[in-house]
Amino acid sequence: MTRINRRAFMGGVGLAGLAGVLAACGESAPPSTGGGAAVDGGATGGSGGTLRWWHHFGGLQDLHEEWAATYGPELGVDIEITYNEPSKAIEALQLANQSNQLPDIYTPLIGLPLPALVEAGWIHEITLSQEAMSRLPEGSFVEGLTMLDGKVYGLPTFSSKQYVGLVWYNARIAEQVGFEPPKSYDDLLAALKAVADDGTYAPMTMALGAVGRMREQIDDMAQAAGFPGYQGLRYDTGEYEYHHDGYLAAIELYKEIADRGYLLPGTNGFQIPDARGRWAAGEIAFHMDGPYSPGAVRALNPDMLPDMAVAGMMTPNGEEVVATRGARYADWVLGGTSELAEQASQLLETFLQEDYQRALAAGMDQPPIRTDVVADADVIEPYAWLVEEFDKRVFRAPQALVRNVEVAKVQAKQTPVSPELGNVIQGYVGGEISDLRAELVKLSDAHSKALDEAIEAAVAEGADVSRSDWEFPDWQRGTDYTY
Amino acid sequence: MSALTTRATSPRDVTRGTGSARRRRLRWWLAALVLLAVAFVWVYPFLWMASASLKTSAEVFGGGLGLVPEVLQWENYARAWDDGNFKVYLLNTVIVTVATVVIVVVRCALAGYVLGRYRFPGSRLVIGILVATLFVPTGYTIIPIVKLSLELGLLDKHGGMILALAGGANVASILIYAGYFRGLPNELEEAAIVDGAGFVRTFARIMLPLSMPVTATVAILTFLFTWNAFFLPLVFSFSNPALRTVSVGMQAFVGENSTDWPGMAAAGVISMVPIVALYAFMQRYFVEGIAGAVKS
Amino acid sequence: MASASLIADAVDEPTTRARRAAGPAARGSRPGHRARERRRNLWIYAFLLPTFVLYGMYTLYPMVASYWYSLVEWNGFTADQRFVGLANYEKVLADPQFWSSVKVTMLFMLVVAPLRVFGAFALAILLNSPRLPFTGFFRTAFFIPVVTTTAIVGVVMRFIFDPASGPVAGVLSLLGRGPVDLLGSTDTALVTAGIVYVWKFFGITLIYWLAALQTIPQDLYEAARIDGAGGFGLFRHITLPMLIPFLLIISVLTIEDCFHAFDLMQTMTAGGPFFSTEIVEIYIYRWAFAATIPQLGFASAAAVLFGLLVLVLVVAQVWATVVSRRLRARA
Repeated sequence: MTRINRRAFMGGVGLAGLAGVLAACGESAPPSTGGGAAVDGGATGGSGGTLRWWHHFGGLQDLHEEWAATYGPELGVDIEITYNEPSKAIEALQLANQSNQLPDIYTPLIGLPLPALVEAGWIHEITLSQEAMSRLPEGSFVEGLTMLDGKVYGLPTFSSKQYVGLVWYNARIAEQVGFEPPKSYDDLLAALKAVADDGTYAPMTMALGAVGRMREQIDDMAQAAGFPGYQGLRYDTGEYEYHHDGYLAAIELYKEIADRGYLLPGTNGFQIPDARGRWAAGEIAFHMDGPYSPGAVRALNPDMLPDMAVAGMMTPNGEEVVATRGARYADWVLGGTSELAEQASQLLETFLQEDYQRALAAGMDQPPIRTDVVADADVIEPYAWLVEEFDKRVFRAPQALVRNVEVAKVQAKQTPVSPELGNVIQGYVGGEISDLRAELVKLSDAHSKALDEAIEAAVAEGADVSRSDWEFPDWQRGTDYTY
Repeated sequence: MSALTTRATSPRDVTRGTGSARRRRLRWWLAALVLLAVAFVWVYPFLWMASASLKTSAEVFGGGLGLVPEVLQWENYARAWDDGNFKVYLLNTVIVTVATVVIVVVRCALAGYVLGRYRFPGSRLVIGILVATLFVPTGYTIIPIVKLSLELGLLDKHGGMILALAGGANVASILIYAGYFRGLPNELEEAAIVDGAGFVRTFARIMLPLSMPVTATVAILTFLFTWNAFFLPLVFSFSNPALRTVSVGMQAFVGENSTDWPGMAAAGVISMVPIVALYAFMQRYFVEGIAGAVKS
Repeated sequence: MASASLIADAVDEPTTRARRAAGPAARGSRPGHRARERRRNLWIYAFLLPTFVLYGMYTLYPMVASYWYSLVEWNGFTADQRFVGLANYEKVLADPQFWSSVKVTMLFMLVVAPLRVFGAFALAILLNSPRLPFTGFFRTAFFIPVVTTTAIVGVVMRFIFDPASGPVAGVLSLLGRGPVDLLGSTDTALVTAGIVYVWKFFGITLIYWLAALQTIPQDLYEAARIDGAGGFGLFRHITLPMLIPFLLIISVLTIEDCFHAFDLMQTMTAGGPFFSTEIVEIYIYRWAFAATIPQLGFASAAAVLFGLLVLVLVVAQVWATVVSRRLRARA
């Protein structure tokens, strides 16, 4: 029978609550979520240490597990693989770097250009034999992107010839509902209408919540719709022009699809796996995804694979796609603090072998850098068709960094712009932005300003760069650019 | 508890007529019925999760409100337990949580005891500094913590994770202890000194056992916080996935098996059961602890 | 982040009590006593040592370091830290998205805090009644969300609110409503997240109120009953006035709590759609970790500013406690 003293109690409630509050926030403001989503697989080899290998290729997890199991013992190391979901990979790498825990091999998703990574000690030189390097197509290693001062720092394993704004559809549903693979925006809307009218299936889904992915898709579709540049930056003038008609047309297409109610409910918040997972269940007609879709879908629902079909990238009036892409950047790098650099180099070298490249093709993620192996690899027909398409339709873009390696110093200083294109797309499709053009003009200005500031800061530190490094007046659409 | 039971036994109806009493009782039963419905909605997400953990993916995606699976899919649990590695995560979480709770309780009890009962050179300063921590904005502190642990060679070890989790200011816990010890009568201590007990023995044999209600409160709050902690365990387990706790492991599982809803639900149930069981077992002490910490 | 009353207690009273506790030692001036006091002080410092060490390592040092970060330009990728003075603060204050996140945080707080405080109050009154059956069960049921891992709750709630197959969509379709994407549309996301937040942490506030109710002396009720007061009269004239001082403390505690919704928000909406649920903590996190080139100095500055915002509330809390003490003195 104890009566609580009221006065003491006031303090007590305060304290207890306080303890809770403190517990909630004491150790770091924001205590946080996100971060390395992963599975750890491993391969036991000799006792030569543990080689840590991080990647973000959902569809290639099995391949890499097998590869580790084969080559771990051969190299005399234990290999520990960690898969990071793409959206979490950057923060995982950043934290790993700050805590000196960079993996021995990883995919450098971070926003710094290769020279800056080398300078900051993020990556280590990769020693490759001449013979191995010669297995790749001519011009695969480019100074500033994968090499620096003639030394290899990054390994490209995927083809530069690809674009990601692809319309995938379910062939079974196409047959039942009776629509043809679309080529133009209107075709697509008509096909979606047919599915909606039929009523059995949801017409479409996409990863509208994944703003980075939306940006990539629209960047590609805008280029196909006539924008003479990439990621908002015109090749010819070196000016940002997100408000170009190509961008407006592509975004308006998404808006139209949403406004007509063709999107699966919930699409607005979907991350990549959400949208892909729903589509892989087989009850939705269309899905916007990259060439890596089959590999990822197979991991989710192998039964879906035979029904997968791709219509390619849409253009406003069904014109042939003309795409422009720079040389391939580093897909793999060797951790700057690695104590197993030799073994890591050897493992990376195996990625250039034909069997790896063929296995890569069979993984149906991004197309392998040796596109010649795709023809006899175990892939579904739409994937093989896509890789052929890419070969025909993608041309080499001019790159400021390749022409002047000092540009890296600018890129390292460029602050991200927020809201970015992906946010604008999401906002416009969701109805929060009403004047798309005005918003895109603002976006161009913000990017332009960030670039100018970065140039200024880099010049102040002695870099030899100017805005004209981004201008390529002699560039022509539909040709490979040569410097 | 005592106060609650006291309320419950207090006689109120003696002076009232029986008819109105019955009517009033009916009113309370009606209230209970309404509350039952609310409580059902309240715990529905957990019921839904538990039921989803025993369904097939198709059933879960099929949606609807039904909670009963067609066939119980126990292999969802096997998947979360083995493939999802929750057996390791659960063990890690238990190790980290228990160690953290022990450290926090011991150090807060020690500090609270001397701060609450003694005046010594610098005592005001110590309290001042601790209290100031509560007011000063902390900024973004995860990075220095990581750097420090790295220099101590503790980054990819359970020990480092535990120290960082137990090393938060915990000012509140210290002050709860201080307030409680201050309220204990001096006679206890004097009697102990007469019996020849030294400083440490007085604390360990007499004071600490008396502080059980506070200890329960601090232990439970710390337990809750540590069990649910996410960011620190995440950072500390980067280079060594074998150190992951359940909340980090859950995130990993979501990233990895994004469409395996039943597996995710099973993982969720696995990580919830211990703490809910603990709460059910300790809930008496919990309410009492908050109240008990301050009764004089 | 403090209960001012507790601090007041800790600062004022230990000294007077301690003087009493240390009485014999203080009185004696003989060398033996002094030696004993010295030894006692040694023990005291030994008892404080673990706290000092951990506090210095994991609280003081990181705090100071984070202030330093807020004064430099640093991307976290390289060791290159350039001192820029208060430029980060200027940039944060000039960023409309920072202010929008402050607005979202305040709005969120305004939605959830009253629900938690008054909802829990009403429930506590009910649960405190001796006539209500199953009170033990109810107390457990309403507290369970508190003990569950926030990251898991966030994931589960995305299923629950899934507009295609979640149970909420099921209920809505039973009511004849089409699929509504509660977490995916900017109009409803914040409110929905707020409801989940209230659900998750309601139990804490409930426990405060239950404990507060226990402090009301029974004899007050009995005296009033003898004077012929009915149920409502008792509530109106005794319960309510006795609880008002607690209202201040509990609401301030709850408000503070509401500023830390990061885990739940990040797992449920990650600030989206279109920044509609971006609370300050997510804004900070975005710049510190999720950006392709993180801006750690900028993020640290935002974190310090956010800390100041919370500080303002602590001041409000101190004020509230002073007022509550006055009210109590009157009662």
